[in-house]
Amino acid sequence: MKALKRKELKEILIKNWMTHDAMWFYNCLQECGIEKTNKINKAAVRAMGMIEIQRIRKAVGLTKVETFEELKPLIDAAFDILTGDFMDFTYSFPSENILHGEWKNCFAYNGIKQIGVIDQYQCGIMERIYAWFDGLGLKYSVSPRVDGCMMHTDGKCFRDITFSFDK
Amino acid sequence: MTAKKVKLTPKQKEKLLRNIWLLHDGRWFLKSTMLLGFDAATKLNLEVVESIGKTEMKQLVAEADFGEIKNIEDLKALIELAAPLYFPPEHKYEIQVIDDNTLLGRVLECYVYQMVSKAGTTEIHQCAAKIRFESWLKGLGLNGEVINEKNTNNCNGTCDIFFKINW
Repeated sequence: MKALKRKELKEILIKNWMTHDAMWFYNCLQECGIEKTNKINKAAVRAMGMIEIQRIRKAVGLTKVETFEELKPLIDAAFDILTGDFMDFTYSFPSENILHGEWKNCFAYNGIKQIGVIDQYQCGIMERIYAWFDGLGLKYSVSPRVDGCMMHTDGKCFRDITFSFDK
Repeated sequence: MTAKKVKLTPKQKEKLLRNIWLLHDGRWFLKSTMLLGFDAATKLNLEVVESIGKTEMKQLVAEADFGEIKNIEDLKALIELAAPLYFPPEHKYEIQVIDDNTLLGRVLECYVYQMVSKAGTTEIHQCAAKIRFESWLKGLGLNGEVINEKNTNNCNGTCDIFFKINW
């Protein structure tokens, strides 16, 4: 047996967490169909997202997020903690007040496609990210606005989130 | 307020990940209860636990390059590796070898019981420990059974879980 490195521990935790989430989705789908499953999935991830971002905010020592300069390190910390290598996700801050996120591949798309409901799936990943910003009380707009799965409809997935701050 | 550059330790990140994973699981249960009722949510939860248990062990064994579980001491070592990874620090337990075929996991303070207690549902909650650990054995390809005579309504946060293995 080899000793597990921190990075490997992180990957195990995130992979198991996402598998656990997928199993909730799958079993819920079998029990009550896609419409209710989408509803429960989005409600669960939204409720979780609003709390998780507050926990990370506290952990990194931020009391409030009132400017883009305060938001950026929080986003960095959240993605650093919560994303695994298998997610194939990149993000950047291309200009003031803009967050650009891009998926070359998407584990949720792959998993949901496998169980045959990708055409009706409503993205839970974006719901989670929007829940962060709603949980922080931020004003923002999203482009493009997509409820379903962009990877399914367009063969690629990205979002630009533009924040507006009063300060 | 100025932006802070705070670096979280790997241990802090691991704790956040584990706790948010539990939070997400809890939100799936809660939202399922709200839409489908407590009995349906309980049924879903037990099915999900049964599925994730196998994955938890398979991933850990693969990542740690643990090798084959050949005897009760190997099983003890693996559970000692898994428990602090998958259970939060609030979960207090002891693991002891009883004989060549029997391992005892004595739960002194159960994190699930603590959460269920807070929610006020100990009388109706179904403990998933036996299902999870049986699933661990299946994931490891071991032939055996898990004995846990208590449920949430009569455990008071403590129990003895026996792993009986036919080598």
